[in-house]
Formats: sequence, structure tokens, C-alpha cells
Amino acid sequence: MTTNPAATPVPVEDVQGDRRWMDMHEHYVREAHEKEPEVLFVGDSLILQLAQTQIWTEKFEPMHCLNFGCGGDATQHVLWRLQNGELKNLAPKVVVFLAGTNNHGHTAEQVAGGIEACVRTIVQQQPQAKVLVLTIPPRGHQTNPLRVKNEEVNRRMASLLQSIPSVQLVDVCQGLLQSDGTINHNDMYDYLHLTSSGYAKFCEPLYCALAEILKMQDATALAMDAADNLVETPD
Amino acid sequence: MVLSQRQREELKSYLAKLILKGKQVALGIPTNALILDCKTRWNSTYLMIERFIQQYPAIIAATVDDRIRKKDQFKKLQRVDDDDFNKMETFVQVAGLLYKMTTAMSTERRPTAGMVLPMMGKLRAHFEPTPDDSAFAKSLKTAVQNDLKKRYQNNTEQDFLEEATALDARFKTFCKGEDVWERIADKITSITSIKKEPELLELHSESEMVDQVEVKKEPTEKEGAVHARKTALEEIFLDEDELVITHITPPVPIRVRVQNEILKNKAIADYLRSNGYESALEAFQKEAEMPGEIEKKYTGLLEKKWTSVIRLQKKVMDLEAKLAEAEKEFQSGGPNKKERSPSEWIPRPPARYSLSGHRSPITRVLFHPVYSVMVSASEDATIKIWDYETGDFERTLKGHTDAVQDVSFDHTGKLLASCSADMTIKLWDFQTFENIKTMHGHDHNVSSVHFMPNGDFLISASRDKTIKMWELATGYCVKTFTGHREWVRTVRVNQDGSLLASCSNDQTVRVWVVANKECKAELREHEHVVECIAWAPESCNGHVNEAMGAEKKGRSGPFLLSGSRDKTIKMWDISTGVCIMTLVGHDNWIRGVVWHPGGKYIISASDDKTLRVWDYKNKRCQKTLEAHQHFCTSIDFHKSAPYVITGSVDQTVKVWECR
Repeated sequence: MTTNPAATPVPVEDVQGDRRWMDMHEHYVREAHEKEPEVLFVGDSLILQLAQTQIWTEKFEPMHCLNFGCGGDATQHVLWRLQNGELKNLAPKVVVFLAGTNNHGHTAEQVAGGIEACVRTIVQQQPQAKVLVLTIPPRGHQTNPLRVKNEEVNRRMASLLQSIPSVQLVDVCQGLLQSDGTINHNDMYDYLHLTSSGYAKFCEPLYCALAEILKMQDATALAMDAADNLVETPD
Repeated sequence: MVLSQRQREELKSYLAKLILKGKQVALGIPTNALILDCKTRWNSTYLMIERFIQQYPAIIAATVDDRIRKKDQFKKLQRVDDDDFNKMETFVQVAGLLYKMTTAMSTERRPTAGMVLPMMGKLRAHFEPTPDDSAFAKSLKTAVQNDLKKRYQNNTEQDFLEEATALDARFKTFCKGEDVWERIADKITSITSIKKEPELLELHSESEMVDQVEVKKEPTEKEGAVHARKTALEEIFLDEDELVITHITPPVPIRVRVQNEILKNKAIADYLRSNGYESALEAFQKEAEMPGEIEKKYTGLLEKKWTSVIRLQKKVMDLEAKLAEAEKEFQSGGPNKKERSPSEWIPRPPARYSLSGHRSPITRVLFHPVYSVMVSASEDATIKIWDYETGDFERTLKGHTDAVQDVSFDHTGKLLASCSADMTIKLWDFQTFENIKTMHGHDHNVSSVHFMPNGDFLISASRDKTIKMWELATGYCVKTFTGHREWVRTVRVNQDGSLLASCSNDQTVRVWVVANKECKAELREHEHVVECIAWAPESCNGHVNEAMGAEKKGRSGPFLLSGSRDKTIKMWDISTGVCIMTLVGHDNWIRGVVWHPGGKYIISASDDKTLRVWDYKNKRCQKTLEAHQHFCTSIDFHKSAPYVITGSVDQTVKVWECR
């Protein structure tokens, strides 16, 4: 049985020389020790950049969140962080996870395995928490091998994660692919990372799932608001 | 440099132009230049007079301006007397319509014969002298009228004009005669070989309805002009257009109509499915031509839409109430101050000061018991001192190596105690501002500290689940209170120093007897971490009893408030260990609670970014202040001055005046 490189925890090597990745990890460990989040976000740059958006400030911050995203992280890097302190001393109600798009050189099967390893670590160390695993969003302007691979990872995840009771797969890809299969520049400014309008689409299913778990009044209010906007003028 | 006579004159007139412009702007008059190049038509005369009247106030203002008022210049000006001025105004009013008409005729893109009769009608009505008219006006009007009477007298001319008017989409309605349509129908049938159908006569009423919808305003070059002036034609028929336009409902674009239809059908389909009407659903789907699957987002949509009217109504009412309150506040700065006693003064927006300087979230704010200063503690490991009356920053106390969680003054205000996530408690001399003692002993983050009334001892609470009492003289811990099962967040001593109250992550509030460390009461009703507590001052006891209404015997208290992450504030009677009141309203964790010194109100700070003032006798939230941009973490009320201070994760401290 060969080991899965995507599921073997390994820190990021400081190639550039400023030690940023390790500093970020240490900062996260400190935050995990001091803060009392109810929702924890873990993953790659797509998670990290979410904390810089307006939608984060307005919708997610009131939920008392912590963001442990690291740009460029592949599943094995996130796994290393999870196993080295980022899940210690806190007890969130929900953990949101997204990684996999940076696993270059790994097959779809390996990437799915890597994600499963991360999820199992979270479930083990945070048994009280519900885990929301997000599908990997599409990338590249037009269809390309990476996009195809990510789609396969998403499919494999759907079946792999079914066996773990506290885990839920949330599909955040809705609306990001246009009818002709291309990605709009207004949704992904570099055909990988999301703009604020891209994040709005990304966050809708995520927010609904979170709100349902946290049983917040806001969720119903949000849904009601949406319904109200569909009320048309009298004929 | 010496200016020549001519240069001086030019300079003066240039200056005059500038001054005039200044006056025009100040008076809100269009900033047109006075001297114009005009062609010599009667319209020009009209325009000149109109312009003069418009600019008159500015001219007068300019002429009396000191800068150009020189004796000789001033006298040279020909003055306009009142009588002349009145005549000018009358002329403008009377002749205005004529001016508009000539403009309409000559500048409209498509001046048609159909315009003539409507215009003539307007002219005749306008130039009919009324009893109110001055002699000047009357003579003007009569002169014009007499001329008008001679025009378009010929019958064939009249007929032709009538038909032209009837056929012009814009002026149909002016045509009152039915026989016009007869004539038109006749002419059409004579030209074409269609048999004269009675339905043709119905045409005009139908087409009238259709065309009313299509009344278009002629777009002209003038539309782009600065004041978005109406075209001459629009101005003339302003009243008639008004009538037509207000009866039109804007057409709903087809695309939107179709979308709405689909939405309605999906909502109905979902309702049918979720209530088990399978066969009805099938039939409906077939008839509505809907594909099989109904997406998740339509679940419950019908119900939501059903109740949407009520919700929108509620929203509207809430907004109206908010608006009314805001307007009242804006106009009178809250209910009249004179009519309210100080015990009713509550913090009101806007904040008096918003003090920045801390580089991390604020954890605690506290008033000095004697001087007009306050302190703020922050996660940036510093304590800052501010003057709350002037808003000045005084100094920073540095020493802690991690977030400062709480601060406390002794009753003289000479000593300040602070505790920190660095697990220490520090004592500061408030005259020299030096750190005179550091106390170690807790095994974890020290989250709360409070002086005993006698000033010889300090109480602290920690994440290590214990409460400790410290002797200031020696700096040693002399008592440890154990019992809480989790992080103890806040500890507060009561006024006489006999009781301690503490609250914890274990969701309980405990009351301890200081003397023997006994836990007198364990109050277990909150559903989440209890963050803050506050003992009621003596002045409140009477009010609390009042609030509780008719009781067999009055409650002796003491009374305690607790604020929790379950978004509620609870009031407890310690003598019986019962929760006597729960205040609900905040949308997020409660971070701080204080009693109003007057005893009637409770003020709370929350992670929903607001401050709330509670009239607890009526169990209602009297006022909500949008206090900060982020979580409000701390609040304090001065015991004798009308000030409230708040601290927030947004790194600012705000001072609020009470009135």
C-alpha cells in the first residue's frame, strides 16, 4: 500500500526566506489558545481571502469566527497545521474546510484522500463540531485539465464523506460557471481567486448551511428577505 | 505699476462682474452675464425684460457692495422705480405665453398643423382680461385679443385645422367635436375602397386609450441643458400632460412578467409536493409545462410569499417608528431636558468623543472614582488614561506582556489594579503612574480583578477556574475560592465587601461569602457562557421592588445582574436565589451590564454593536444606540456625572453624554 502524499502531513518549506508561513501558523496557534470562536475556517487562499471581504464583516464576523487560511496550501500542508496546534484549546461548533486546488502533481484520488485525512483529523480533535467541507470551485477561464480533476475530486468527496456522520458537503460552485462553461472575470479576477461578487455566490450556500446549524434567527430573516424581493408589483 | 485710465475702467467692470456672480450665487439666481448680444425681435425685448427682472436682486446687491460703490458710479445708475418694475413683471407674465408659442413653433422638430387649434384655444383663454388685472395688463391683453379674433376665421381653414388636431397623437383630446371623425372617416373611405364600417367610428375612442399610453415627450437638444428645461411645447401644455401621465401605470417588461410567472408556478408546485398532493402536482406540472425537478431554493417559497405582506408591513412600521424617533431626536435632541430629572438621563447619540490610540480591541473601560479621567485596557497589553471631559489622551501604562483583561480602582482612586492574559495582576500608583507590584499565582489567563471596599484586598478570577483573594500589603494570595467548573470570567464584590459574585463559562453565576469561602448560591439558568455581572446599588432596591409589582412582602435583595452569550440579561434576588427577570433583545453576546445610578435603568453592551437602555420596570428596551463598528466589549456608567463610556473591538473608546 503506497502512502498518499496528499495525506501525509508536511509543513511548507520557507523557500522565499521570510518565514511567513510558519509565522502565520504560530499566530493561528496563539489565536486558537486565546479566542473562543464558534465557527472555525480552515484551508487555502480561498478561505484566507474570504476574511478580507465585506460579506465576512457583515455576515460571518457576528458569528464569532476565526480564519485559519493559508495561501497556497495543499491538503498535506493544512493537515500538518491541524495536527500541530491549530485545533488545540478551542471548541467551535462548526469547522469549515476548503483545500485541494493547490494539490498539483497529485491525482484526483489522492487529493480526495488528502481531504478525507484532514476531515478525520478535525472530527477526532473536535468531536463536538459539525464539519462543513466545501467543494473545490472551478478554475481557469475555460475548461482545462485542472478543472476536470477538481470536479472529480468533488465527486469522490461526495461519496467518501457520506460515511462520516458529522460531516456535510456544501456545494459552493453554483453560479460560478457560466452557461458556456467559462468563468466570468467579474467573479474570479485571475480565474482562480474570487472577487466580492464571486464570494457573494460562493457564500450563499455556505451561510445558509452555517445559519441552519447555528439555528440563527438571521437565517430565517435572510430567507424571508430574499422572498420579499421576489414580490412583484401588482399587475 | 501705474494703470492707465482705461485699464482702471476695465478692471472695475471686471471686478463688478465677479461681484455680481458672487451675489447671484448667494441669492440662488442663475449666473448669467448681464450684457447680451440680442437680435432685434420682439422676443428679444421679452427676454431682456425677463432677464432683468430675474437679475434685479443681484444687481441691487452688487451696486451697494462696498467694493464698487463709489459716489460717482452709484449716482450714475439709473434707478428703476416701483411702478416701472410692476409693469415689467406684468408684461413678462402676460406676454410669456406668446414667447413660448413662437419658440415652440420655430424650434420644434415637427411643428404640425395640429398644433394650431390647441394653441389658439390656450391663447384665447390666457388673453381674456380678468377683473383683477391692472390697467396696463388689461390694455395689453385686449390688444392681443383683438388681433387674435381675426385669425383662422375661414370655415374650410377651421375644418382642416380640426382634422389636423384630431389626427395628431399629441392633441387628440383637444378635439371635442364628434363630427370631425365623421368627416375623416368619409375622407378615408372616399380615398380607399373599403366599405364604411360602423366599427370605424369606434376607432377613435379605442385608439385614444392606446395612444394615451404612448404620449411621448419630444426629445430635444435642450434636454441636455443644465436646468433640464422643458421644451416650449411641454411648458405650454404642462397641465394637460400632468393629467394624462398620472393615469398611466408603467408597463412591466415582458421578461420580468415571464420570470414572475415561472416563480409563482414553482412556488405552487413546491407547496403541492410538500403537502402530498401528488396527482394535483403532476397535473399542474403538465399544464404549466414545468420540468420535473424543483430546485431546493423554492422550498417554502409560497408560504414565505404569503406572509411577505405582513412582514413587509411590519418592516415598514418598524422603519416608520425609527424614522419618527430619529426625527424627534434630530429636532429636539431627545425629549426636553428640562422636563426630565437626572435619574432619567440616558446616553444619547452622537458620541461626545471617539478616542483612538489602542492598536487592538479594547477589553475594558472604567471611570476614575474622583477625577474626570477614565482608563481603557486593551489586547495590545497597554492601559491608556483619558480625560473624558476634554477628550484628551493623558498617558499609557505599559508593563503587561499580553492582553489586559480588566482594571479596578480602589475607592480613593489612588491605586489601579490590572490583570492580564500574561497570568499576572499588576498594581499601579495613580499619582506616579508606576507599576508598584506584580502578583503571580494564577495558572492561566486572569480575566477579572476587583478591589475590596476596604482597599486592603483584591479579588481576581481566572481561566484556571479559581477565584483568588490577594493581600495588598504582602502581595500574596490569602484565599482561593474553588467550585466553578470552567473559566471564571468576572468577579465582583458587593458594596459592603461581604459577598462576592462570579460568573463562568460553566453557565452559572455563583455568590460566595467572603469570610468563610462558602458558596452561598449557584444560579443556573443561562444557556451559554455568562460574561458579566453587576451588583445593584442601594438606590435601586426600591425600584426593583416596584418593578416586581404587588408581592406579599418586598424583596430585600441584594440584587444582581448577569449578562450572557445566550443574548439575555437576568436579574437575580440573591436572598432567595431566584431569577426575577429576564431581558431579551440583543442579537448577540452580552459583554457588559451596568445599573443607571438613578436606579430605573439598566444599560448593556453587546457584540451586536449596540448599547441598550432597559426600562426594567416595564421590561422593555427603551433605547438602542448603534454604538460601534464592531463588537462592544465594555461599558461603564459614572456614579455621579452624566457620562457613559464604551469600548469595542473596533479599537475605539467612546464617551456618551446622558441627557
